[in-house]
Amino acid sequence: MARIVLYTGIKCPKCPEARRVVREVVKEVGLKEGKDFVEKLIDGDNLKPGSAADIEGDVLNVYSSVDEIKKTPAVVANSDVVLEALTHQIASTPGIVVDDEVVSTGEVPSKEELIRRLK
Amino acid sequence: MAMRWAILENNKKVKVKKNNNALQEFNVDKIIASCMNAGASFVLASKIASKIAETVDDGTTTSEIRKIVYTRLKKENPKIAENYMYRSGLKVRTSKTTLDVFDRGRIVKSLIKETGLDKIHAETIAKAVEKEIGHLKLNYVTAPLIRELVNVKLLEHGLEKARAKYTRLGMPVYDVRNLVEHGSKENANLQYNPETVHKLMADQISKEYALINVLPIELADAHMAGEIHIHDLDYFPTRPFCFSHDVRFFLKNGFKADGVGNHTAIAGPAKRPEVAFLHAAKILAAAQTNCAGGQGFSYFNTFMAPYIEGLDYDRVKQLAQMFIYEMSQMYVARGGQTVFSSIDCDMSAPKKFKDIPAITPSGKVRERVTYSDFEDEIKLLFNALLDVYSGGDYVGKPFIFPKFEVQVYPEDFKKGEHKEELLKVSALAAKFGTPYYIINQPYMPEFACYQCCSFLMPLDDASTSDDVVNGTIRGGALQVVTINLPQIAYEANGNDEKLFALLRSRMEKAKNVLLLKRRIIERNLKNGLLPFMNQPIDKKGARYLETDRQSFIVGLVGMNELLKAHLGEEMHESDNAWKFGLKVMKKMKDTVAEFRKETKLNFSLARTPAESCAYRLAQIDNKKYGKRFVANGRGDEAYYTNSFHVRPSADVPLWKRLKIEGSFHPLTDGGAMTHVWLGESTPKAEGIYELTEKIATQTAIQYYSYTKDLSVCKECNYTTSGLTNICPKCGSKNLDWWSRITGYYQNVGGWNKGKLTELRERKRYGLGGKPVELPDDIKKSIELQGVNGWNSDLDF
Repeated sequence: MARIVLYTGIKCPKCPEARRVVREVVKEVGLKEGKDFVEKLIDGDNLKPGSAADIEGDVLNVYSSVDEIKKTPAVVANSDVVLEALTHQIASTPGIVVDDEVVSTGEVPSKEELIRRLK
Repeated sequence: MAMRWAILENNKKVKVKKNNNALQEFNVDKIIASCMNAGASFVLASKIASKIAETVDDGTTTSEIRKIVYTRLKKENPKIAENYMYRSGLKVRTSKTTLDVFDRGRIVKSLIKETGLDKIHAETIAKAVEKEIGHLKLNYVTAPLIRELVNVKLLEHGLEKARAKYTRLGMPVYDVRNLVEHGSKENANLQYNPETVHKLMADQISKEYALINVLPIELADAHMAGEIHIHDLDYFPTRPFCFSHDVRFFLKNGFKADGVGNHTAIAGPAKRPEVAFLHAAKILAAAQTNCAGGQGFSYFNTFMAPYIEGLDYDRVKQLAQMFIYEMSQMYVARGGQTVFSSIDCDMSAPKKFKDIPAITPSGKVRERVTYSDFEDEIKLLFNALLDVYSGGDYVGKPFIFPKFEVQVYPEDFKKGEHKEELLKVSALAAKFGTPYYIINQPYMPEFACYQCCSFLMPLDDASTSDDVVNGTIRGGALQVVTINLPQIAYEANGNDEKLFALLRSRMEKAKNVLLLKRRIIERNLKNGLLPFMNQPIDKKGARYLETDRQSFIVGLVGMNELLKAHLGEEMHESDNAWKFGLKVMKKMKDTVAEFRKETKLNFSLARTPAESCAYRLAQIDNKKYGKRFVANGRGDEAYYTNSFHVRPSADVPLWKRLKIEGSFHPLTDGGAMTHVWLGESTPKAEGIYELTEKIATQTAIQYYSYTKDLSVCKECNYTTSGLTNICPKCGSKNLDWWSRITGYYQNVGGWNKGKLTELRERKRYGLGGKPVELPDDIKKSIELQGVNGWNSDLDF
């Protein structure tokens, strides 16, 4: 199970920044996208799996499950993501869960805060 | 025989007029028969009849003839005369408290007027009733009895619709006598006093009226069959549900308790702090006369802050105390109850109002003075209210109303702001369980408050930017209808598609009830039935209650039992069941969003409190669904779990319970609530604070409370934590138990059997999160409490 999950939304204004911060941290601490880190789109069930989608200026490879991720940056999109996010108490994006605990919802944490939570 | 022949010779061929104006040939034999029936001999009867025959002419009325016979008989024998009068004209005790002679024509007239029957049918029915009364040989009849006979004849003639219109609403004499002489056995929350006796009688009529004449038969049947539950049915034909007020409107414009000033004195804008606080109390009481549910103030201490400018803490505390006592003691609402009230309070000026011009004493707006200029007063008043609540009343009992709703912001914990106040709030929660926490989660509307039992008032939907500036922000629920989820699962028989189709169809019914309520309230406003709510708020004619700005609430009960019946697992037993529950909830939210789009009205989905319906619906289903039935408790104790809650008796750690329930909160837009049932008698304030921080920052919960069970000694008034059979102070065994039934504290003596079973089964928690059981002797004692039936005086 991934240590860090980022939940995003298609028209979420803070999500591109969250995407940048999380991926920088992931790189810095040596985690692997698709294995230790996954981005999941809460409202992307209409996106075609296998395609590349432009989401608020970021081009992401779309997959319907974590196991299918082949190319990064990737995003998982299916109708269950929103329900899964809710079980993690995430109801606004961007939402970040580290080791099954909520780090932030509706805001972008600092790189330092995220690194601290990963340690 | 000679006498008779003589009379017959005098038997003129004249036409006399009957009570219904019809002409009838005079018949001397009828006079003889009626006199003899009254006890006169044949000779006397013939003598009287002979005299009558001499005086009667065309057009003489039968009433006149009766009077002449009576006068003549009285001269001969007064007793026979009285008998005659009684027998010849069957007396009707009318509903106008008069004694009239029976007149068939009146039945005809009333049937035509009240049911729209044609004259031929009306006369047929009236004749049949007259004949029936004749057979019964009654000494007297009452108007209700005649109406009952008419109803029977209507049914015998297949005129069922006419009967529904013609029937009388009310209560059996036995029930009325019991109510007057002994009080209600089904509603122990209401004190036995004349006001509540009248209220309960009126409730019965109003509820029957709603079911028989207001709701279309398919919606009334949906309620009776337990598909849906229409809350506060007794108020359905007359009043809106709950209301959130903006005290600034009254501080600025003064106050008319009756909304118009015709029946009460008119007060101008308050100049002094005492008057402002008294006005605030009376506003809620006045509004309660127009509404079924809770009355509250949003941003209460912020808007009252300018009125305490320059006052020291003792005076401010005195004002807070006066207000809280007013709300706890005005025993005037809805037939002898206190007002169901709440105040939303902030620890600093809310963002939305920082730069809004403040209403100050005399209703004046001072140049460049905004609410951000009253930060100190806002905090001072918050603390004063908090201290009054913490002290309890004169004998140390907690204040139940107004509910103390505390606005909490997750970032405050991160920034360490308001820690002193939050610790005091925690101490109050630890002592009495009084505060309700509104956690302003990022997903929530920026501008909202929690009031009534636990309804979220989305003030953005209900108010405009002008309202924010002018002091007219207001909102509330127009009506609440709850969907019985377990029943859908029994009907769906494990089929997902059918389950969602049934869910949609039940929600459509709820929508139709809500739209009907809208039409009713519009009509009532137009007719002037709701004068407080109808008062104009500006020169353009906007009304205080704008129907289309209110929330139209669809609620739910028994998600946990739906899952158990449909999937075989409860929410806390598997992630699969939990996620399916969220799927059902999301479907409901999406459907409500469709209703909103389609009607352009504020439809919303809420966790309804369900103090009555969690029991009523389970009891209906228990009889109907046999082995498929899934509930908590057994037989006449069976009840459904409220809304999306985890089963109260589930043996799960507190944190898991909070996470499961928290995941549902964002899917409601009309309010949700989670309970933390405390099992420790004296939890530490610091522990409550830490748990509050965790809930605010680690869950999606938007509204919750800590509930302490309390025992209050009826002998010495001592209040102690937990449920106990013996007063620790005086040793008395005469105690009242209090706990939070749903979204408010209530005397356990007034709970229905379902709620009592829940009280017994609730898993209480220590702050460490481990479940705690009630002692066995207390569990047994709980069984002896409570009331018959499922009605709650407050059916939120």
